[in-house]
Parts: sequence; C-alpha cells; structure tokens
Amino acid sequence: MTDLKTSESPDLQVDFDIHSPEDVEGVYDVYRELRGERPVAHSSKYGGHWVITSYDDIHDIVRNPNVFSSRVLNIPDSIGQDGEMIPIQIDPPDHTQYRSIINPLFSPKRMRDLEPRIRDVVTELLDDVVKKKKVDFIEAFAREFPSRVFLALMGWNLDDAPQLNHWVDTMVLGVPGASEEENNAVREAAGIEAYAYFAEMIDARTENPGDEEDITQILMNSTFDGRELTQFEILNILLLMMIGGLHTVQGQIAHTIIHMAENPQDRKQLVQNPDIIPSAVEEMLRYESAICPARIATEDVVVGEVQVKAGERVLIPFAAANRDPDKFDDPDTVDLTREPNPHLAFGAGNHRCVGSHLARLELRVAFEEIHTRIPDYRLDPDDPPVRHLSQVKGVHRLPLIIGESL
Amino acid sequence: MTDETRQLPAVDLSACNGHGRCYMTAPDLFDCDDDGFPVVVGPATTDVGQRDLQRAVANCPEQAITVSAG
Repeated sequence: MTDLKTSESPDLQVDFDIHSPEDVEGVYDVYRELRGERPVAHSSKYGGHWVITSYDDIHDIVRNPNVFSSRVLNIPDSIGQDGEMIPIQIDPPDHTQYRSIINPLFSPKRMRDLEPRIRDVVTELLDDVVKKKKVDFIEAFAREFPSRVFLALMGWNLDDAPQLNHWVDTMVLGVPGASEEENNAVREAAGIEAYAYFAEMIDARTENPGDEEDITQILMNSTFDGRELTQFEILNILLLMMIGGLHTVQGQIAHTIIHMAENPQDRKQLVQNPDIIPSAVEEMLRYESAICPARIATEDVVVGEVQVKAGERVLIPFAAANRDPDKFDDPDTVDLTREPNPHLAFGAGNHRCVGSHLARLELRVAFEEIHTRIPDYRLDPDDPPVRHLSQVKGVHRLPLIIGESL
Repeated sequence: MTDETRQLPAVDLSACNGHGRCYMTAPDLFDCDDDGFPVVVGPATTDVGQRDLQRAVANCPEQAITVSAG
C-alpha cells in the first residue's frame, strides 16, 4: 500500500496557467511559492497537468526520456504542428538517429566559422539603431537578427523574415484569452502556411540544387537508416528549427537588454570588460530562461513525494529550476560572473537544445557589438516593455531610449 | 605511481549531451569533436588548470565529468 499523494489530492491543486497574461510580471514569485509549498503541484488548467518547480526534479525528468516522453511537449497539446516535431517529440532510439543528422549542423566548429557573418548582421542592424533617439528594440533588432541568421543558414530569402516571425508568434502564443478551439484553429492555420512555405523551398531545390553547405540542402542529402529523409520528416525538422531558433533568441536578447537598462552598474561591466560577456550570457540565460516544455509519463512514477501516473502530463519550467535556491545561491540576483552556473536554460538530457551553440554565439556577438556602440540606453518610463508568458517566455515590445542612462 | 599534481578529467559520454560547458570553461583541457561532444586533451598540471577543471566539473549540467589522479 502506498499513501503517496496523487493528482486527486486536494492540497496539491493549484490554478497555475502557463499562458496567463496576468502572471507574466510575477511569474518568478509564483514559481517560488510553488517550490516552497508544493514543488510537485497539480494544475486544473488545460485538462489537468503537473507543474514541477525544483531543479533536481526537473533535472531528473529531462534525463529520463523512457519514463518521461516528449511525445507530448505542449500544453495544450498542439501548437499547430502536423505529426511530431523532429527530433524534440521523438523518443529514443529514433531520436538518436535524427540527432546524429542534426547535431553536426549546429556544432561549435561550424558555428565558429559563422561568427563573421553573424557579426555583419548585427552591425548592419545597429547602424540604424545608433541613428535614433528611441526605438522599439524588438522591431529594430531583437526580432530581425535571429530571423536573418536563420534564413541565411537555411539558404532562403532574408526578406521572408516577417512571414516566419508571424508563424512562430502565432504558433507559440496563440491568441491569449481566446478559447482552446479558436487557438487550435489559428495555430493550425499558421502551421499549414509554414509547411507550405518549407515545401516550396524544398521543391525549388529539387529542380535546382542550392548551396551544398546550407541546412536545407544538407537535410535533403541526409539519410536515416540508409534511406533518404522523407519530405514530411524534413518539414517537421524545419518547423522545429524555426520555432526553436527565432522567438527564443529574440526574448533572451530583450530580457537581457531590459535588465541592463534597469541596472546600469551591470551594463557598465559589459562595456568596460567585454571579456565577461560569455559568463554574463550564461547568467542571463539562467536568470531569464524562456523555455517551459512538458513531458508525458509513460508509466507510474514517483516525483518528489508524489505519485505521477502513466498518461499524466508534467510541465517543467526551466525558469523555475534555474531560480531554485537549493541549487543557486541568491537565485533572484544577477551575478554576471556567477560560478558555478549549471543552468538548464537549454534543458539537459537527450533533448538538450540542439541550437544552443548557435544561440550562445548570437547572444555573445550581439552583446559585444551593442555595448561597444551603445554604451548608454534606458527604458522609456512612459512606455514600458510588454512581456508575455506561454511555453516560450518573451517580449512583444521594448521601447528603448538610446544614448541616455538611468 | 600517480602524480598528485596531475588531475586527469574523464567524460562519461553516456551522460554527456554536448552542452559544451567544459570546453568553453577549460579550453586547454577539453576540445570538441565535429558533433560538439568533448574530447579530453590531457591532465590539468597547474593551479590554474586545476581550478578550470573544477569549474568545468561544477558547470556541467549533466554531471558527466569525473577527475582522477593523472
């Protein structure tokens, strides 16, 4: 007999909603409260799911894909994809084969060769920013930069960035406040458009092969178990790369700029001592971790002191893990030279973010160039930033006054 | 015979998932292969090397690095 608590236990019930517009400013307080009182809590939202908030529990879950499958990655269940996004919604052993195709595309060595191109993109965007007194930094930089890098890596037209961002925003955010049915319809429509665009890019290559080194062509030339990847597989790999690569970096840049605008002493450190930027990037990844994935239990399993049953879903906010005081001293304070900092912003286990080396490079180069060229900036007190939750936390608008400091 | 001033890292590749924190933190001790997985270069023989090695161990999100007398 067991007297472990279950998803039915009254004292584990909460009404946490990862998509709630009301919780966006106070989400770390919510995580702190949950971690202190119910580190394994059960939310009534979206048909019921667990919310886990301690580092150790989340770490165990992501490193145990046989018990915690990522087949169900989203709550609600779909962001508009057709079938599984590859490889994040695939479990081993197939996952391992897909990753062996995709890992080399984003390897540190390949990324190192990209640095000059990435720096050119940053410089070109900042050339316009420095001429202005006030910008929306999302529009002027944070959204445009990762989109251009992504499109260049794929070998597609840089002018297509707005379309791609529209699809990603719709699939990630849905329509806050709308019904689940409406949300599903809107997300699915965006997904269909994105797939159609990718299919067009692939068809163009079939007639006229492009650069052998770009990702579209490498995927088309790749094999799985000795056969070519199907178009369906390539579409679902491309969808995940787009979802994973755009909104995430945009949000991370924006959250960091907000912190640096509000904390000039930290910003001065980046300006005066650019050598600490790699460490600052890690700390800001810890402090503002965007991703909040889900998993589904494949068997009955105990998490913390709670019985999770087969078929139940668990939500694992990396942002909650990374603010756990049992793992990080003074977790709600930014320490740009924090040591050690084994944060989970990119997850852990077999689904560790495949784009992490690209993301780190983009963030480092962006913060080097921004702080060389714009040592002073501040928020507009009359027009504060607009943040959002969802399973990819981010920033919609970031009005920034250039050339002034708090 | 082991030399106490030499610390040899080992990476458990069944636990490692290629985060790259080790070769970012201690590039003299770890290199990376074409897929982004670490390759041990050699033992830490100096104070600075040993401090970097301890940092690499503590920063690994998979707890995949162990150290033995080299």
